[in-house]
Amino acid sequence: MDLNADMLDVTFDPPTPVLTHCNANVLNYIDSTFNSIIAALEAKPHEKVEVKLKRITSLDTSPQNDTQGFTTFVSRARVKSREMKYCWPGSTAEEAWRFTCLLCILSEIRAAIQSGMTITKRDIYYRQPELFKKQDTVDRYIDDIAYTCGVTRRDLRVTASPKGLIHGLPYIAGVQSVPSPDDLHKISSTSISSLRWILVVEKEASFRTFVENEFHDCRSFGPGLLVTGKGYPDLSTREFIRHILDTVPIPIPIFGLFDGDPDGLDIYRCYRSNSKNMIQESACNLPEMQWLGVDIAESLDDVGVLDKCLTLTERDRTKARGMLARAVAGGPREARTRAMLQTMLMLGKKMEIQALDASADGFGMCQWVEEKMRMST
Amino acid sequence: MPLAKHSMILARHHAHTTDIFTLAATPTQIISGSGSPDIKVHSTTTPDFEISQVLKSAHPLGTHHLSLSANHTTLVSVGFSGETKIWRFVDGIWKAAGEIPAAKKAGEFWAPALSSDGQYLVGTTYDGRVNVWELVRDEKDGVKVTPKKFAEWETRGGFGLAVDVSSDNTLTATSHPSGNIYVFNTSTTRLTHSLPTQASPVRTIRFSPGGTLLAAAGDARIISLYDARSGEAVANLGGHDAWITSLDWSHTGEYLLSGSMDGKVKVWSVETRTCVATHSESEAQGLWSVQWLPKGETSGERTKAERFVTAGNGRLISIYREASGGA
Repeated sequence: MDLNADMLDVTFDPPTPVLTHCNANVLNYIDSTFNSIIAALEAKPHEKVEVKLKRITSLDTSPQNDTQGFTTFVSRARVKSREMKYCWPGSTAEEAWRFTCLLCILSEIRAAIQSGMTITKRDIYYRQPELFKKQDTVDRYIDDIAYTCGVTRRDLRVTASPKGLIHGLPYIAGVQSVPSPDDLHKISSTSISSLRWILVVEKEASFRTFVENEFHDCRSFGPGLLVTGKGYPDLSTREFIRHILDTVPIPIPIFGLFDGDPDGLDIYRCYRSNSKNMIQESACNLPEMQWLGVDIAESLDDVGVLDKCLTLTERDRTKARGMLARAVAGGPREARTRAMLQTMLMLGKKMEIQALDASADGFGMCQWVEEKMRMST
Repeated sequence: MPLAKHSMILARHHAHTTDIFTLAATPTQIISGSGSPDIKVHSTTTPDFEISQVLKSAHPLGTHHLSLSANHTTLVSVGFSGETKIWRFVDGIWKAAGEIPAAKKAGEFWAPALSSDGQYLVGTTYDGRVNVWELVRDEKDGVKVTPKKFAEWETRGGFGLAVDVSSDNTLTATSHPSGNIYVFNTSTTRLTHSLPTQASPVRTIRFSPGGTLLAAAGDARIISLYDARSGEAVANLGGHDAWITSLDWSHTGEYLLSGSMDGKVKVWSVETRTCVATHSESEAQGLWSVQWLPKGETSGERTKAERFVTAGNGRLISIYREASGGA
């Protein structure tokens, strides 16, 4: 069969993004930058092309009284900047390298905005660590691009901090953000030696339900660690889990709980092997993660659960078809994924994690997961 | 009519096993489509139901529907990537006769049905349309057909889960997730009835052999019988405990076969409107397809016991036979 490229692309298609006015400004800036480069190259192939960015050179952050007597902090007028030109081909290797870095970052931002997925500065760095050489390179350009477009970094869909949440690290109480990759070395083998398992939950809401039920202190399995990447995981979350698994003195199992829909399966795949074919990120893959659920095929004789299932949307079907092509290409080790996608398409139904919960308190879901973990170990 | 399971299991369907989603049966063959690329043809005239033909790599992502014309000469298969293939039975084997390529939108061709002579093909879509193709024969080539879009009808029922054409080709019925059933007059392309049923998906719909009754079933776990001409509800058959995925009328129209997602297959007497036999797949696996095996035309064939076949996510094809001298 002729699998056209856009069918495969669908695999990575996240929920339809909502574009803010600021997002649109950034997209316009990026597109016009690329278009003018192409136009310049076409018109005069042997001449230099250039991109201009404003770079912040100083920030006066001391409080100042403005004309009305109110205290204000940073305002645009009090930022000092100068215009930087990035040229290709550069007069030096250094100049050419800067131009390349800038264009790579612009294309990452464009992809993030278009897909509606927030990425971290670290994600961008890890796309091409040999190119960027250090995280600082990325950070500086991101700030300059935001300033040039007159928006905040958030409008670029780039964040500084990991978005994942954890609960149950032995020496930290309560729900915490995933530790920054730079702090991972502080997690020692002895500090986490009591951990017996890891449960990764797709959605924050379900994660919170497990936290409220103190599931990390599970009766039958001993202490465990709860993690959520809040949907598609960022690199920091996967780096963190990889670090824990590689650091614990005795190997522990890792379980994943996802929606029984095309996105849930895609997110599961993201944890096991990264979403894009980036060799640099493969060190964070979690191929040992076991799928706990949810799988509609396991509930076919349970009308109570089935009746809570939702109807597949057009987008779900298109995405499932693209993923099915990938799963078939993946051969026997993707057999389960293939079967789940085919069952979904046949039934025209998808099952969310919440369907497991007969009562609203999450107790049923915890029991179900405990039973599943018992069967998987 | 107590039915004994003819303790015959045909063998694993594929090298690496996948769900069997669809079956079609001729007087001499059972044809099966599954989650794997190949469509397999099993002979019902040999004692061990051996595989007589493999339609190799028919659908790379698997086959979700098969539909056979009433004269058993034309077969349609629909694959998960969206492509539809037409096969014709010539010189004792199935030959590739034509194809409707996959559309960009997933589900642009979902459930198929053929007119009794195999000349017209009906297909449902993801948004409730019904497409009709004429399969134009190539006069010189004895096999090839060219699908030519013939008509397009609108329903407002959403995804077209199932479709059937009556044996005299005058009526076409579709069923939808909303529970709605639409019946079209094929020659005038007029919508003759919109049957509001249970407010849950209707997954299977079949006209009786004489075309007088229409049977429909799905997530409501009830089989509804309608008068096909007037659209009036005639009876509801209750007894399944899970979603019903497949229905089939016996050749004479006396019996109705139903299969459900909890692995139960039931035989219903249409006259008494009662369930006369229930069987359960050993591993309680969901059934995707149940079919009566048609008998041949000879008088010897006619007196043979009724047989039917089931398949599903148990990945086996099971053949059942009416117990002899049943009480």
